[in-house]
Amino acid sequence: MSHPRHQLDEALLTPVRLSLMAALAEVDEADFATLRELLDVADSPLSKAISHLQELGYVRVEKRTLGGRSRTWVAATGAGRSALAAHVAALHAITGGAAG
Amino acid sequence: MESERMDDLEALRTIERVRQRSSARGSAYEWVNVWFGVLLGLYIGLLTTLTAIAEDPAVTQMMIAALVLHSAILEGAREHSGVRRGLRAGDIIMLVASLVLIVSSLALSILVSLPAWSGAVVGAVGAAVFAAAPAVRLQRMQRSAAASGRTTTAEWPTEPLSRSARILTAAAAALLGAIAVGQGHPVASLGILLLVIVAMFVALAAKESPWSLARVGMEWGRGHWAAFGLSVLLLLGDVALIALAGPQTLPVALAIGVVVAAPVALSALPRRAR
Repeated sequence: MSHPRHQLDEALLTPVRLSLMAALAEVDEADFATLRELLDVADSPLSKAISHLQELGYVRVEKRTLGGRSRTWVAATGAGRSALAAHVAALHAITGGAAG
Repeated sequence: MESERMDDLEALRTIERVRQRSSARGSAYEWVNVWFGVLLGLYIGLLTTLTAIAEDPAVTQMMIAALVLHSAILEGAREHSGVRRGLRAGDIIMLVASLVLIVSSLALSILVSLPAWSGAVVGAVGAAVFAAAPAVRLQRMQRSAAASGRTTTAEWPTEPLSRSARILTAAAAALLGAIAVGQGHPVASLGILLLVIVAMFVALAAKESPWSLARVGMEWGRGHWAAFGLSVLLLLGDVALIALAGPQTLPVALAIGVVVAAPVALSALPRRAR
């Protein structure tokens, strides 16, 4: 049986990408400005994280305009949610649930 | 920074912290939904009571215009919260229960002669059922906010409105006032109802423009929503008054119209940013 470390998802090993997926796990969609506030990061690292996860099929991005304001909405896909769940399970296995 | 690797324990703590912060978002929107639930309950209760005791309960139909107006503004409010949540199993059960309650109470009030107090019961049950799902979500959010060391009251401060939102807020105030003036006058009521329907079509067609009602919901803060709630409550009181005491004279109707419109109209006044 392989060490649980091998179950960790490479894409979720950085703070911004991991936080982004964790934030999206609680909602159906969140807009860019809200994610920036929740994660307390600048536009550039957030944009890079979204693009990376979008390429992997972990998030879906949509631009919508309402009331004259255009917003970018980001949602976790099924694959993204599964990846986060597997990553969290691996982290728990490694730490023996010490963070709980 | 982006390529920085996290310690495993720190990663788990980060996930928990961000989840709590994320699940605490959108509380102001849920407060508006709780209020809308109470409003719907009051409306159904009033409708049931008036059908039981008044000769002409048709005045309550005008309240539909206010409810439609509220729904149109609510879409923007959801956008304002910055997050969207789909319906969960509990929400769907509540929704079905609400529909059953509306249809059965209306059918009963038409088919059977119900006592006047039945309206109060239907209204109270209705308000509880409609407000239950958002109230539960709100409680969950407040727990998450407390766990992450934050408060949910920081959302939706009352900021100065943009020009288009200010004008649309003033128009909403005028519409609420017009509904109050038109109550109990069949021709005026019909005219206003048609005006509301046309306005709703325009609002739907212009959804993306800054002149849509959604924009109002996007910009309204706690103060604006409180003013809107007060105006709608005054309107409900006026509906009950007309149904029980009969149509008002024009000067009285105009005076009541001004009182109903005043809270929303005052909230549209320009103010300096803090």
